[in-house]
Amino acid sequence: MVIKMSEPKWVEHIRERGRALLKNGRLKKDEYINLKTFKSKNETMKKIERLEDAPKEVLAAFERLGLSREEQKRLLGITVQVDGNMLLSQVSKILEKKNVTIDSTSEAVKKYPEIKNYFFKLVPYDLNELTAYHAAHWSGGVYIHANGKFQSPINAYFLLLSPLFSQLEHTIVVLEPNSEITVVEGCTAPIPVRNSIHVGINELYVKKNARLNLIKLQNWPSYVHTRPITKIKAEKGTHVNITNIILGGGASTIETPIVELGEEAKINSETLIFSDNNSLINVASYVTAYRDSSTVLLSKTIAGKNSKVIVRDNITAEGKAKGHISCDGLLLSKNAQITSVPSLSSHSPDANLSHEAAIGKLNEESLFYLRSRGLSEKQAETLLIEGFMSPLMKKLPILYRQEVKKIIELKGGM
Amino acid sequence: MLELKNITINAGKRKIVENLNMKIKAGEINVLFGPNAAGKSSLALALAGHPEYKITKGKIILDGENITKKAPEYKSRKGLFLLFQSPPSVEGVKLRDLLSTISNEKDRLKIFEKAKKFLLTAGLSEQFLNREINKGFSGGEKKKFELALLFLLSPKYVILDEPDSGVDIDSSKLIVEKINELKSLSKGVLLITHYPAILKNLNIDKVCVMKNGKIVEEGGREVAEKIEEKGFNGDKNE
Repeated sequence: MVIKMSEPKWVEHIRERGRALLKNGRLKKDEYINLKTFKSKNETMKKIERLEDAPKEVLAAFERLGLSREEQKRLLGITVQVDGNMLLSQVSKILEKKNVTIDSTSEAVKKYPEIKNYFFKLVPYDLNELTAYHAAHWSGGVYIHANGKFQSPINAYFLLLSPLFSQLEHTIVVLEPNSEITVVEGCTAPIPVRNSIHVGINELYVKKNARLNLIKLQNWPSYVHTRPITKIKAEKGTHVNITNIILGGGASTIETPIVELGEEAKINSETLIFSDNNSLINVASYVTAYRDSSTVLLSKTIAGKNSKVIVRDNITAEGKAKGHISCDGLLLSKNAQITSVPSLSSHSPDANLSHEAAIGKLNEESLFYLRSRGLSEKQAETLLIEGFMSPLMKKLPILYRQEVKKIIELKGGM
Repeated sequence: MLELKNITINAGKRKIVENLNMKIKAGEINVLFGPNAAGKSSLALALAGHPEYKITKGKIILDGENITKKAPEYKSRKGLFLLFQSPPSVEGVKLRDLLSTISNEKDRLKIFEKAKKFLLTAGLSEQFLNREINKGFSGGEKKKFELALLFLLSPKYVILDEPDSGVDIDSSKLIVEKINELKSLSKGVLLITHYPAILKNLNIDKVCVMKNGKIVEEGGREVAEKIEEKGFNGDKNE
């Protein structure tokens, strides 16, 4: 017999607060999203033991993230959420031995009392209407707690299969001091899914001297709005590497990674944005950097068709910190638009902050050179686009590198 | 034979080359001589299909086929190769990537091996297969890389645009050897230069002199010798 535990009081309290905030209606609304039109719960899916047993439509959606069936089998830690339900949580025993816990956040709030110290602690639920809505109706997400080192990536996938659905996953990652893990987060929906939203909240705690590699892969279709919020607290001496791949993009994608970077900590954040159709992608990264920390925010944007991309990066130095922002943009069509807004602010005379930005089209001379060596115009363009992305692609694990290439080729932007 | 019939070339509204006629036969080295800004490089780029240099009149006939309006890749695949005077650096793209694109998977390893061989014979290391094309190459390395690519693609007709400009004596010697080798391989060569010294050790067949977009003199080696002695304007102050 399965005993269904109910949510603890403190979670109920947060939901109540969220509902009250929504009712009072004073929070900042989103210009594209009318929350009244969405449902946030649907029929519970039967949990499965292995990914092979997943329904056809789930496996098909998975392909949009590029992982082949063979590769899926090799993963040691994998969770799959479909809409609001956790479909699969397949965690190898090896992870337990390494003191790494993975669970659905919906379950984790019932099982692990300490999660209370992390849930909605970095992101306030009264930030705007969406965070209040998330507080009231959230479901799923992954809780990862690491107290050790583990090399293989831990994979969390979020699929949206229903129209008019709001996916409100709440992910919490906690790395105890000196721990080290790699988390891969993949989000997608099949192309026909319309008018759904993804409002994921990620709160990541990287404690003293720990190392976190975070790879985020998003491939949303044209009719899905997404508003993920990621907030990271990186303590003294930590290393955080973020590789953020945003492919295509839904109707509008607004990303806001916010990082509090402790003393002597390092963050390397690299973002690749590939936009097409009419999508509007708005990515903003904010880093508050403390003494002797080092920040590198690098982005490469490729905008095609009628898409618009705005990249905002900010480093604020609160002490003698080092920081650099670099934004490169490539326009593939006359109607596409890229706006780059790097900003630096320093509260310390000893801080060393810099930025550079460049936006242009494919280099005509290079294009002609490649064509004069026998490549068709399309082939030459593809090579040049890949070349533009290559510094960032090199940082991706080989597996994902191939997949990202494949996905971009499929998108027909190349 | 590569035949240029009555070619006129415009860059924008400006006429750069006018009514140019030339026949480049297999196994022959044709030299196109001329002072700076005579229109030589524009001619080379236009023949290869550069979109900024338009052939507004005349025809390019390659082995009987009119390729005047064809795309650069078509001309290349038909056997026309332009060795660039200053090849652009191609960000993030390696020779390996270029070759992977133009070969099928079955032949890929073979073509990589061949490329390494030609890189070595052009005086470069095999590493150039994996370096971003022309990025951070010295002047000499760029020319040698172009030569390696030329021998690898093995075209029928070759336009060499100032192959020895900006290189040291040793590289220049190697380039001369390679041009003679092209002749022995029965390639048709159009060698563009404004500097007669390179011709000394070359087995050349014809020399044309171009000024202000027109051929003003044609002949054999004696034309080049005269220019070396007297310059393009008849005195030595060129």
